[in-house]
Amino acid sequence: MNLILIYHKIARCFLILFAVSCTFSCSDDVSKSRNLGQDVVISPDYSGITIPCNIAPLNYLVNEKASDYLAIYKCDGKEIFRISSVSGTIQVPEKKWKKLLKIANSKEYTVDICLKKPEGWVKYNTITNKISTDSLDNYLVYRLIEPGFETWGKMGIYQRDLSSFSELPIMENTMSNGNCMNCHSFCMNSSNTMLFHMRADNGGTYLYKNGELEKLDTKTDSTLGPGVYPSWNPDGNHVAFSTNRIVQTFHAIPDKKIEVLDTLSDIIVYDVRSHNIFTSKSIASKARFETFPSWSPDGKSLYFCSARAVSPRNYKNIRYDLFRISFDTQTNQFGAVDTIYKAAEKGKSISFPRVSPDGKYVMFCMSDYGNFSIWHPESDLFLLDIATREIKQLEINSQQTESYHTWSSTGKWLVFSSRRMDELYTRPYFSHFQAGGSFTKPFVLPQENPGFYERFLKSYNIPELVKSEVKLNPRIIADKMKEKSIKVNFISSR
Amino acid sequence: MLPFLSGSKSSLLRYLLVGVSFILVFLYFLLFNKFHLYYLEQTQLFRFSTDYFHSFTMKPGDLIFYIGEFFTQFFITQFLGAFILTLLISFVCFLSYMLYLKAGLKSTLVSLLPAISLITLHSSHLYKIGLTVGIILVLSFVYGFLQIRGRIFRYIYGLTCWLVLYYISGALALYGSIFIILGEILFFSEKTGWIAAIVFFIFSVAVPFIGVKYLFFEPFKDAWIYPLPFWGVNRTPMFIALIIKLLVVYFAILVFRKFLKKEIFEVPVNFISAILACVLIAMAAVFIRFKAYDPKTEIFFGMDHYVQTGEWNKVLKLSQKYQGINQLVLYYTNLALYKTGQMGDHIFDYPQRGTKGLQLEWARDEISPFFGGEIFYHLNYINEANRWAFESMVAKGLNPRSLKRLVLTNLINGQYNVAVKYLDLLDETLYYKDWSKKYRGYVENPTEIDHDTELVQKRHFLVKNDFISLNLGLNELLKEHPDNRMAFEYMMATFLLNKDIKNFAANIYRLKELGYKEIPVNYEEALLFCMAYFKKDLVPEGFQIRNSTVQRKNEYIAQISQCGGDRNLAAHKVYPQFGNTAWFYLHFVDQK
Repeated sequence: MNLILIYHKIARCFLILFAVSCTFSCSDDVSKSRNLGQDVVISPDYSGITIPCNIAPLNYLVNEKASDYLAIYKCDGKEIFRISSVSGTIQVPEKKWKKLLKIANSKEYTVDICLKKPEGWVKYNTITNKISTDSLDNYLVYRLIEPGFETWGKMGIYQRDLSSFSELPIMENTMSNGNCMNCHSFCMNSSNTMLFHMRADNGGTYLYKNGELEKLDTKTDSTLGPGVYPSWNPDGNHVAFSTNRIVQTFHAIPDKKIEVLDTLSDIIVYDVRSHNIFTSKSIASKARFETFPSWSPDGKSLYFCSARAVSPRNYKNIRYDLFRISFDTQTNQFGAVDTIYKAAEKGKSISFPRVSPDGKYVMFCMSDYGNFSIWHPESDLFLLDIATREIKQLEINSQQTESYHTWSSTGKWLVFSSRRMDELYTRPYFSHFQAGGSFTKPFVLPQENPGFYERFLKSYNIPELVKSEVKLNPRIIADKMKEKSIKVNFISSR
Repeated sequence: MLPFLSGSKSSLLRYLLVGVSFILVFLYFLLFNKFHLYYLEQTQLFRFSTDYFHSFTMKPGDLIFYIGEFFTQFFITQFLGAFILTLLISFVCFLSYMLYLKAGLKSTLVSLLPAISLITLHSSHLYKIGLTVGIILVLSFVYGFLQIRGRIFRYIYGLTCWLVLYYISGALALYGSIFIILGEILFFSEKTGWIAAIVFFIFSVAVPFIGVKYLFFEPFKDAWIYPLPFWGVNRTPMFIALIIKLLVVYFAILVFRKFLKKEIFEVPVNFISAILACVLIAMAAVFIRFKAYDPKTEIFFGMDHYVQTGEWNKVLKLSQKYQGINQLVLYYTNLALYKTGQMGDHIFDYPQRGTKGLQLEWARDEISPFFGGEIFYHLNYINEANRWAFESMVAKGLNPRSLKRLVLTNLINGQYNVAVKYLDLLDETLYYKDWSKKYRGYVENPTEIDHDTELVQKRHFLVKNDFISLNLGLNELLKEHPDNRMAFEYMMATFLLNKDIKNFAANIYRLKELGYKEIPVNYEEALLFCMAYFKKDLVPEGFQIRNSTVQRKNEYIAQISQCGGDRNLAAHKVYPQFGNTAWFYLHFVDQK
């Protein structure tokens, strides 16, 4: 027994000596490293960004060839830790990362990336990132689906803890006979108030509020069909839905693939308490396609997109403007319609308006025509100042599609989906909203394996930020699935 | 009944029986199922990567399919495919022999019985090899259990290995539970046997319950039945027969052993058992030939294989062997006719019924996108080829064919970043990494594409002016590229098969601009028909109709005129000589 202990102690001493000698020799070499004066290429690109103080470790690959890699993390010139690698994969352990977030909170931290080449160690330009004191909502909810045309395989709605790499399913279609599910939506970033739709055999809108889950049939004889694109009124008692007749066709040229368009669309409002649906002629006119409802944070106005009803053959002439209609949550009465931005006049089309939590801005996607921006590479994010009605094309856009976006509950962060990485698969990007209406350089949702996005063949669809974990899982929803839907009633046009 | 052979000779006979059976099974798969095995290989993409493995760990019972796909990747080599299947089937037989021997029966013949079911199952392209792997794991587990005499060790083995078995093979482990419960009661016959049996029963029911409630997200019933009842099996009765047969024989042996109080019962090798063996092999052969083997599907898979390898004459050769009418067969036949330059001359040599043989109708299933995308690639309708390949990848799961097509179409479209994603996946395979290496070179240096004849030709035909089409887009493709000869021939075939002679006549002028030296025979026939109908000369400038065609037309009319206006009689009369002409099709064939 004693012999074993002695053996272990000796072995440990040797190991420590070996590790120390390695570190010293490594440090010695690195300290003599030649400065290349070049920016290192890392993927994902986590350089020159502002990150929230509660984000998961930013792991990345150094896309340069070398025999050894070293990333030295510093704050205020002091080294916090260093990560070495022989493959170029820089994975920061969560403990170390949290320490960095704590030390460098509200400050900048730097990363020196050194590579061992045959001629010795070389150093690239220092990467400087900023840690914002503005925290991000804790969870990101998204649907994972192949960016396909008509077919789908396994899909699900998942929630990701943004401070770690933990991802949990809210619902997966392996539990529901492979059906489609879509349009998850939350009330003011609250995980306690959620809804999403399931299609086919288990069809219905699943509405979750304060621990109660309801299965609704929102299709009525007086509306075009079931509710589609939803928006929760901040009062938690009303949900505006678009109701659409959707068709899709396929393009023949390389740059374009799919055209998804409405042949009819209206907006309806669902009263959660009474299970009633109502609408107004102003938002459900035959002469126009109304879609993408979005409530203002005070719940008194409903923003929506509207286009002149045009035959699908002239799909390139379907262009949506941005409108607003007032609404009284007490009486369920609509007021007058206000034109917010006439995009069609400028040969453009608006989709997915989302009002900032302070009510000052509306962010939307703008493309050349149509409303299904995800298949429009020209789709970019724009910010409209509600007071001045001026719009601004955001600096966070890329050459590829920018589409669905959500404000954080504080209005300080934005998550949006973009196809910039590989032109097809949508990934969620975060950006910090700064005073004056500008955004910082976006960064992609961090993954434990930095090569994750290269292999992953599903799109992150409808990224929604929520403040806490959604207390739903596939088992709970599968149980609800077996129940009969609550049939909603259409009461009248208001 | 006394053995009529000495011990060593009877052993020899046993080995001979096993050896002959092995060779026969191997030859059956090698010679009669090779295309079906190729097809199976095309429907999986085994990758040496952790995320691929991880995708099989989310649900109990999926790992047997991981192992199954590992084996299936080798089916790309015909010999290996047949050998692996024979080996798997033999292993089941060997395990059942060992299990029965342990239980108290020594009979080679009885142990060969599962082979008939397995051969039948493996003759179907819808049967998943993973299920056979599952059976092997169950039998191994049960055999291991029966080997352990020590009670405590046996219980520890039983419970721990069952957990692993359940995770790997799902509900098949429950099937294994029946064996060990019977073993506890009838084989070990200890005082605690009934208690142990009850414990095993409760354990087998409780573990799936705990799994579905707390560990895995799967439908409640799947915890007890997946991959049963027979997920991935289209020959369900045969699979039921297999698992019942294995169990019933085992049960019968145990009962027999318990009541006869005899450790081993050896089926003697004598005249009767030898006759029985011969009869069994003969009956199995007849059963497999007429009930299990599907020659029509094999022909189709053969055509599919040769379409992939571009051996178009072989496609036609197999098509000629096919008895009856099948849309998929006709679809590949027409493609091969074009590829061999025979579409305008021989399209009516095959049983055309409207335009369904030119294109597969879109359906959101595994079949339509997998086979149906082929035509778009050859037509140079690249976006559609890309779309169908993508749909196929999603509907059928990752498969080499769709991924390769996605790589090619994205390279043609200049979307290199997307192509790289699929190349990365192919890099992780055993058989496609070399293919991937070639095309990765194109991504790294796109100018190299200029030296690739296939891609250069496809790029030449790329569509520049957008259009939306609900079918093959032939008119639009021709409008974009009047030199798209395949689009022209398919368009003319569409007109002919739709009996749209007006449009056929209106487009015959394109022969000249497409560089035809003479009018294809079927076109000549149709032109003569049109000229008689429209009463004007429609022969394009610089062309003439062969005298032989005119003579045949006269003969055709003469034969019809002999039938006195009886349409059915006329059809029967002219069919032997003129059944392969445009005239016959236009006059007599129902398009539907």
